[in-house]
Amino acid sequence: MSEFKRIIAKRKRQDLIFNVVGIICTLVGILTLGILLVDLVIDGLPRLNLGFLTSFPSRFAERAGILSSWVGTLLIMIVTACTAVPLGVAAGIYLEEYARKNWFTNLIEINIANLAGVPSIIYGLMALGLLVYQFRLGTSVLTGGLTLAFLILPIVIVATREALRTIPQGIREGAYALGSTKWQVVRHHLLPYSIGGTMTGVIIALSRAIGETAPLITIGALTFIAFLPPPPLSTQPPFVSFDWLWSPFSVLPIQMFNWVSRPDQAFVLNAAGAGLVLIVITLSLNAAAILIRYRVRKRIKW
Amino acid sequence: MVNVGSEDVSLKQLNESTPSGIQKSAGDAEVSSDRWRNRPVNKTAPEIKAEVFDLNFFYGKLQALKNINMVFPANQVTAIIGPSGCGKSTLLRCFNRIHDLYPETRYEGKIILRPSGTNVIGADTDPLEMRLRVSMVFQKPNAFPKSIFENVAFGLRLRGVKGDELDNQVERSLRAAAIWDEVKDRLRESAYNLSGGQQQRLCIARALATDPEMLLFDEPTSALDPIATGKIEDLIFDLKSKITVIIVTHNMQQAARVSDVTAFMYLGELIEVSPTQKMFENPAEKLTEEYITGHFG
Repeated sequence: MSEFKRIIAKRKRQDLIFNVVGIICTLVGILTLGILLVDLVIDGLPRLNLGFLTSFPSRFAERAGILSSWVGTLLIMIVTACTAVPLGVAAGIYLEEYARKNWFTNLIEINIANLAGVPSIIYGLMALGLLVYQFRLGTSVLTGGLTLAFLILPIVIVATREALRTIPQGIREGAYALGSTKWQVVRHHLLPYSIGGTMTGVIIALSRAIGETAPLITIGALTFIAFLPPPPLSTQPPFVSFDWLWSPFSVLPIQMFNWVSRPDQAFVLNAAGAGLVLIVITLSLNAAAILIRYRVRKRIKW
Repeated sequence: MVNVGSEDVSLKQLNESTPSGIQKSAGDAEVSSDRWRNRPVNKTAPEIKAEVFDLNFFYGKLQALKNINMVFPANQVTAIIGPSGCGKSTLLRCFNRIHDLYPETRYEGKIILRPSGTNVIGADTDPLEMRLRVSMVFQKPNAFPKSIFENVAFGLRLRGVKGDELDNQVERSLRAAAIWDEVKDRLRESAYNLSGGQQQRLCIARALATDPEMLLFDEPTSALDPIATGKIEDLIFDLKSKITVIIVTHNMQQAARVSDVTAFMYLGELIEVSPTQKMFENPAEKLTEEYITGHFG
């Protein structure tokens, strides 16, 4: 009996040791993030006010704001979402539902997985060569949005395919058995049933794109910009204008980068303020993703 | 016990005779397989709904069906039994060309539907057409994650049914599947709020909604409890007045309870087709007897 007790005590000790090690490892990650966040809040929160959000950058730290960069971020994200989502979802559906499984589609599949791992600055170089020089799109909102769209395209494709794969084959067979064409199955069943998973992936991808700096600097995004792109809506016909697509831009992370690299301490506080805004946007996007996933899971459980 | 008339010929023999001979002599209607239930005896000779000629089916290089020849009587329930992997589901799934969804599947032979004479697996027959004409109920209830109404309406919408006509046909189908009373007040609710047995009856309603020529059941109760199973079996039994039914089942009691004709398959071959009662009391083939008495499978 005492032999058993000895063995059990030893094994329980091992259990306890791993438990403690695990807690420490977890805390390293969480505490670092927490301290970073607190530091950012302490530095940045005093700068956060309406004026900060509605002012252009300035030579004077107290008057400088992030108006042009958050508008730029918003517009870039609109272009990115509007291009990456249809392209990525369509490609994902094609690969998962239409394409025959052979060596060629396998090759495409492997390459898409690899693309997701390509460093973002490479996308910047490609955009510079292709979009800026070849297609002469300039250093515009359009170029920036397309660059980030390329960047997140593989993530959107993979997310779409994963979402489609969770739909049981029996559901597809049931829909086909009623006489649906492939497109009817996709349109009336697969798309609506996978939209939750796809949207979650899209939002996660966008929240990654929103923080990207390197590719946008590569294509020549401005670091100091004191005007807004032309508004998309106007009072004169034709009321809708896409001139903003051709406007130069800056985005939040580039604005931060610019401020941090200045010697004046006051600008560093501005950077903290902008960082806080960026983090709030990112976290809200992630929260939206979690909310969508939760609501869809409640509605559809296979 | 119900008598088997002396002029009766087993379907196995019928299958060996010419198609024209079948129509005249298929006098098995008096045969009842049912030991548990009184059933109305159909005095008229059954018509033929489908004829299978020299059917072979391949998954890639693997031959899953070998030279199947048989007839399916109209407005009767034909059960297909046999051990796992014998090809019974494969045979069933030929009837609505669901195999065509998967690459490297190949048919040989003919499946002729009467009275239209359509060859189900003909090269120039559109699989979509067959799926519009022949409905299927699957092993696992596969209701769509939509409302109860939309589940039944989907197949009708594919055929362009709209408005009041749509509402009427949905109600009629739900009644025919004996689930109307349970769902009539919650048609807009998600089908996933229903129990497994109710979902399966919803799937039957969905399959019936489009007035199919045949209804295929692929082990429809294997995921259900005994009470739900009983309801589905009652339903299948009632359905045959309106429609020709083929049911694949691994449950021999179920075949005995619901079917008029039973086919036994083994290793991709059709071993025996007989009126259900004869099949279970006095099978013609040794192999059938061994399977039914539980010596293998």
